[in-house]
Parts: sequence; C-alpha cells; structure tokens
Amino acid sequence: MIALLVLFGIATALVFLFVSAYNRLISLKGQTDNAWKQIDVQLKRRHDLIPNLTNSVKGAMQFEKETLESVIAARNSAISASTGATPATAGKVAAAEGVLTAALTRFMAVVEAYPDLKATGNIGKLQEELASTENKVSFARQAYNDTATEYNISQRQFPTLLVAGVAGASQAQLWELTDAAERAVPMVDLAMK
Amino acid sequence: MATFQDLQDKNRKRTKLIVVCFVLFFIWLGLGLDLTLYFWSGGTTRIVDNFYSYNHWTPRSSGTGITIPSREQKQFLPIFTIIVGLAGVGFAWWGMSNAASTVLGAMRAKPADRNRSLEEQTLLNVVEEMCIAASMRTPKVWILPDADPNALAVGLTEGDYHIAVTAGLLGTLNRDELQGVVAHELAHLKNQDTRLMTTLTVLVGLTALISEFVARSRLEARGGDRDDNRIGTIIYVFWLISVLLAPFATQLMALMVSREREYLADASAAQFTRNPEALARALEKIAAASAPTTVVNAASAHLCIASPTAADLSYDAADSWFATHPPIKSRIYRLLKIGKMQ
Repeated sequence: MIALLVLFGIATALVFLFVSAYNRLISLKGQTDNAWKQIDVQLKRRHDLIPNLTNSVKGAMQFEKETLESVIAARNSAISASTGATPATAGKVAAAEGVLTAALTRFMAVVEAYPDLKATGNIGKLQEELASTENKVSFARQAYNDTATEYNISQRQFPTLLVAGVAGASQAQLWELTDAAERAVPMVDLAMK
Repeated sequence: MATFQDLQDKNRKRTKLIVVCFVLFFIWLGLGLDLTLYFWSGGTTRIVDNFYSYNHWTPRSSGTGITIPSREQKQFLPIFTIIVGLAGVGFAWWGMSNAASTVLGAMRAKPADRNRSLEEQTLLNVVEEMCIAASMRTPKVWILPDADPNALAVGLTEGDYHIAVTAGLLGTLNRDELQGVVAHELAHLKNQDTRLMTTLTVLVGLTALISEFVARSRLEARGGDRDDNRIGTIIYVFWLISVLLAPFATQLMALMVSREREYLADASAAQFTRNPEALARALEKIAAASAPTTVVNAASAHLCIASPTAADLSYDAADSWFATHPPIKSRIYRLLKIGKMQ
C-alpha cells in the first residue's frame, strides 16, 4: 500500500515536472517570437523615417548626392530583405540592416558638417528621432538576443531538454553583431544585494 | 540567478501580505475597543474626544464626549470590530485604486508633450527605447515642476504605470544618463516594486491619520467590577500603544523594503541599457545638485530615484535605518563594478 502511494507520488511529481518544463519552453518560444516581431516593428519605423529625413535635407545637401543616394539604396535593399523574414533568416536581415546603419552613420556625420542645416529646428528634432530609432532597433535586437539565448539554453537544459521535441522547439538564430563592443553581454544577477 | 518572474512573485506576495496586515490592523483597532468596552461594561464608559481641542489634553470628564450606558449583563458585541474592519477594507481598496493619481496630483505633475520641447521629445523617446529593452508596455510620462533633478515611478498594474521626472532632471542629464535613470524607474515597475511601494505609501499615510485621531481621544471607565476594569484597562493600554506605534512600524517597513529595492533596480537598469557608467554619472549629478526636491513630500520619498531630502543625498551619507535610499556612494560603487564585469 505504502509502496503504491510512493509510486503514485513519484508519478505525480514527474508529471508536474514535465508539464512545467513544457510550459516554460512554450512561454519562452512565445517571448522569442514576440521579441523578433519587435525588431521588425522598429526596422519598419526606421525605414519610414528615412524619406522624411532625406527630403528635409535634400536642398541643402546638393554636393552630397552620393551619401543621400547610398542611404536610399541601403534602405530599399533592407526593406526587401526584411519582407517575410523569420528568426531563422535573421542573418540575412542583419546584413542588410548593417549596411543601412553604416550609410546612416555616414549621413549623420555629413549633416554635422553643415552648420546651416543644423541651425534649423526641424533637423534637430529629426536627428533626435533618428538617434532614437537607431537606439530602438538596437534595444529590440538586444531584447531579442537575450530572450532567444534563454530559449536556446533552456532547450539544452534538464528537464526542458526532455520535452523540447514535444514542444516543437528549435534553436533560434541570434542577431549577429558586427561591433565587438556591442557583443559583450553583461551578466547581471538580480539577486545581488 | 533570480529572474524578473521571481522578483515579481516575491513583490506580489509582499504586497498581499501588507494589505492583509493593514486590514488585520483595522480589525484589531475595532476588536481592542470592543474588548475594552466588554470588560468595562459593568459601569459606564465615556469616549472623550479631544480631536477638536488641538495640542492639549482637556481636563478629565470635560470636553466633548459620548457616554456609553452601562449594560445589565456582560455581553460581547463586536460592533467596532465589524465597522472598523470594513472601513479598513474600504480604505485599502480606495487607496489602491486611486494611488497613482493621488500621488501624482499632490506633486502637480503635468503630462510630457512631444511637441513642447526637444527635451520632452527626447524624454519620451528614451522611455520608448527602454520599454523595448525591457519588453514592456510604455507607461505614462509626467513632468514635475521642480528644479532639483529627481525621478519616480508609481502604479499598481500594467496599463496604469507612470513615470515622472522633474524639469531639473531634463536640464541636468545628457541623453545616456537620462536613459539610465529611466531604465532604473522601469526596472522598479517591471519588478513590481512600485506595486509594493505605492501600496505602502498609501497605507502608511492612512495609518498615520488613524493614529493621530486615536491619540486625541481616550476612554474612561466608571464604576463596575474592579478586576474586570483592570483587564479592560490593560487591553486598552496595549491597544493604545499598538495604534500609536503603528505608523512608525509601517514607515520603518517602507524604508527597509525601499533601500533593498534600489540596488536591484540599479542592476536591472544596467542590464537594460548595457551602460552602468551612465547611470553612475547620473547619480553623481543628482547627488551634486542636492537642493531638496520640494514637490515630493515625505510619504512619497521612497518612490524617488534618490532621496528628495538634501541631507540624505550628501555623497558621504552613511547607511541609516531612517534613510529611504542606500548611500549614493555605494550605489555608484556597485554600478561601476557591474561595468567592469562587462
């Protein structure tokens, strides 16, 4: 009788363990997908902002046609790369966006060199918007990488490891960073007193 | 490694515990009275109310008072237990459902507007950025009319989260530093520290109010059985002491919880921004401008990023039981340590 009860207890504990592991994995999968969509949203914002920016400086930047055109070209290829992208194709999108980031950085450096352009209030606000959009993209990327890493690690950990197949979990591709400084992820223990 | 989930669960439990304690305190408030009246019920009992005669005790048996008539036989009637207990539940519910607007209203906060100035546009952008980093919904953003740099977060549930910064903060910090401060406040919201702290703020205020009222009234027994009168008096004295000490206990509790949360919020902010040095610089600037934040009153002090009183802000202030925040120096030290780990 006691043996039966013990067996029953162990079985219940095992079921509980599996169910909670399964739920954890599913929740992480959802969070990863959601974080990925966030990047998408922010990239779209960035793409939408660029025409505004280029239009407002077009007149003053006659000499810098090349810079302007490279931004527009980079934007267009980034848009085509991001249509229908999934976490699995993160690498391709990242490459196209990397080119756009470089073009925008060059562009902003050029704007800095035109004091007349900076003097108009509109450019100040647009610059702030662009700076913020760049930050939003990189923070969305950071949030995606953090959740995806947690998701990936949990698939290889016990006991989630055992239910990974049932939950349909697969390794999410991280958004590769080209900047070495950005690559360092600080490990912050929230329990630190 | 503790996750946000763990912190949230812990804070939710603590909030519940505090609300339960508050309601229990109210029940004790009524029960103590009922018990006293029960043991004194051989003779007559007067409730002498000194509430309107401020600052001095009126002579015995004068002053406005209600005489409770003597009862024939002893009978325990839990009238006050029920009335005051229900009032406690009502107060807790009312206080919690109006917490954010009450706190912000008292500080004359006005909503931040993207079109008013570049500074406010930057602030709103920074809040949006940090919300993406923290994967949470954007809270409402308010500006406090005060020249001293400070910031705070209030709110009980997602959807009713608020962040307020002083006008002085916008003028003092650069973009990166502002990001650190906003991340710190968002961390408080995400950990559900604010849920706990806002509840405490409201309940600390209410307890103080009740205690003040009780301190100005007293009960007197006349006639009746001597032994019973003695028991009644002991219960009454015990009741009176507990009611008078309650505000200090709740205040101390608020302070202890608050100090502990600050380090955690700093660490989480570092995780969101990946830039602990910026927050450290921001704290240094906030400490350097140690003019008191006048719009923030003492009851809301523990909601702020740095203590609103100038004395607690000095760079060398020691850790104290009565401080709402740990010393700025040790916070900066810990942030720089996180920075070195990267």
